[in-house]
Amino acid sequence: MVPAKDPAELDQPPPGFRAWRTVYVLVALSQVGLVALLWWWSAHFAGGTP
Amino acid sequence: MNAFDWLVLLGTVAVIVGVGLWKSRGTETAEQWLKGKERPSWTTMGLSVMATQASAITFLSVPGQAYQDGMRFVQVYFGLPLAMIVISAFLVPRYYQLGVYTAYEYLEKRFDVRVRVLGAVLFLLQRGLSAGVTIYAPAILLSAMLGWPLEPTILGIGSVVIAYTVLGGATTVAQTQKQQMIIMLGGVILAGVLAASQLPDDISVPDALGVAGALGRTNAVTWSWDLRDRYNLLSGVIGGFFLSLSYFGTDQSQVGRYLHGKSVTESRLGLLLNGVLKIPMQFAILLVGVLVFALYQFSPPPLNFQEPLAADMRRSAAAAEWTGLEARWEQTQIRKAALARSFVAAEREGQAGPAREALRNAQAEADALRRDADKLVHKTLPGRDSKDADYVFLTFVSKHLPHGVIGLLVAVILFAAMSSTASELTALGTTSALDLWQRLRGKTLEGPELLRAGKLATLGWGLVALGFASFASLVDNLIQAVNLMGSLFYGPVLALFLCGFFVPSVRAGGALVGALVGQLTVLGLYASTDLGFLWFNFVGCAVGVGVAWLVSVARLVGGDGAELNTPSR
Repeated sequence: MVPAKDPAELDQPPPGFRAWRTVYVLVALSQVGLVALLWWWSAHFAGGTP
Repeated sequence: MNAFDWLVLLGTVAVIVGVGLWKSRGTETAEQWLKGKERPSWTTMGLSVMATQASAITFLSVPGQAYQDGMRFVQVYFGLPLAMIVISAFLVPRYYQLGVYTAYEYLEKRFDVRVRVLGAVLFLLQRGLSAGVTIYAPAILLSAMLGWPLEPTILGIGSVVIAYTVLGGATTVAQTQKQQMIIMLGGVILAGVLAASQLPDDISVPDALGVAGALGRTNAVTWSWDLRDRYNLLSGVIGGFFLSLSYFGTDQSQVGRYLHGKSVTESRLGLLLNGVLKIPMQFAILLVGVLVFALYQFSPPPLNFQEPLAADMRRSAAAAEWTGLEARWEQTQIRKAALARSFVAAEREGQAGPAREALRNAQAEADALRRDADKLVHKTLPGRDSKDADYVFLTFVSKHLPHGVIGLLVAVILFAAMSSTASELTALGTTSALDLWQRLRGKTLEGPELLRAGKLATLGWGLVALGFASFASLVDNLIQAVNLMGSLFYGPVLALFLCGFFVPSVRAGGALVGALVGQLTVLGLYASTDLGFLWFNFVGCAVGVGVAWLVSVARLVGGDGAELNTPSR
């Protein structure tokens, strides 16, 4: 049985968010780079008409 | 399939299921069965999350989709990494903090039992039906292409997965999914390498991709403001984000994968692993389809990949017309192969313009012949579906790959079906036992009683899925409806969770009204517009959150969260 939390506690920022911020930014940037790469791929193989 | 294929297929299935069950030995308590004997590591969780999402359709339909429509389907996953970040940052720590068994428990702790039951019922409805399709979809294709009898195939896939899920619980599900995912990824890479190796000697992989690109099959990123266009950058990033947020953050078949890790850190890493690998994995599967397409530019494909359908047409009253179309198709393909070679030569010299045009014109002729063939099928065999995208990959596997590899790739397809079904059944069983049975009885289930309830509910849902899979063969259109159901229901369910996490002023009554209005809006749009299905996730969620906030702020409906402190699990 797990006791329910106080609503005020539920509204607190999640633990460890700041420590993980760099990881999240790196993951997001890597994926933006991946999408950019796929954009290039589309244009390259479609003979310039993606 | 020959005896060697069967040996590879049965051997792989037996080893992976055996190891999964062996690892779960000594599982005795309800907690061990529900959460696992040992807390899984981040790699196991990440692969388990990926295996849950990768159904057999992923391996059967996606290459066929690339073959016929190009790679733009990959854009569906563009919003997924961002959703993984949001779930890791905000949802995972809360779920751990509250020690919940299911996602819907959170709704009761934040709102009240009505919201929990609404979330659980919407999940059970949608997931209960799709569990049947997860089994049925590969069974119907394997039965059509490999001549396997349909009912025993459904029964075979279903009974194996039900047995190991009920017997081994969370440990077996996570362990089998980890091994299955590794085999699946290996299988995709192998299929891609073998497709590339079968290209003619004078055609390199870049040449083949150039041909596929000239015919519009390498379009991984497309741009359109048309909201009816299903797959483009905009719908992929926005609609895909909301779809992924809802699926991974609130669907118990996924939440159950990462809820019981060694720590919040391990769960976060597992989800981020999925976020980083998902787009490359989907790209790789689509690339296999593109390579198969390129291969068939030099080695003529059939007019329709559904071999049994083509055989029926050759025996039908329109046999002469059909064989005439097949003859014209073959001539067009031979001419197209010559034009593809001319294009490759011209491209090497940097003057591909006219050759590209000629190739595209030949493709347009081939497309017109296929449309004529579709019309003839509909006229001659009314009720038969001539769509053949799902059969492309299986045709390639059975006709072009060596024995042994065929058995391995059929195992990949079966594993994909099993891994998704295992997560669905455990999630359905856990949600039924904890969120409905326990709450409606008003008594907390503990120890052996909880274990028995979980196992019985999982077995029950397994039988429902088997029954639905058998019934689905009678009503094919049901499958389309079920596939759409995810996007029809996810938005309002996500709205409940987003209100809970991010909008403190929303109370239970407002959340319920918001979800209801969001749901009606989505159903109304589905019935009256051609809106691309990914947008339903965004619209349902936005309307749900907006209305919930307005109703709560204006205090139009009761339910102020007074039951927040009701003990529950």
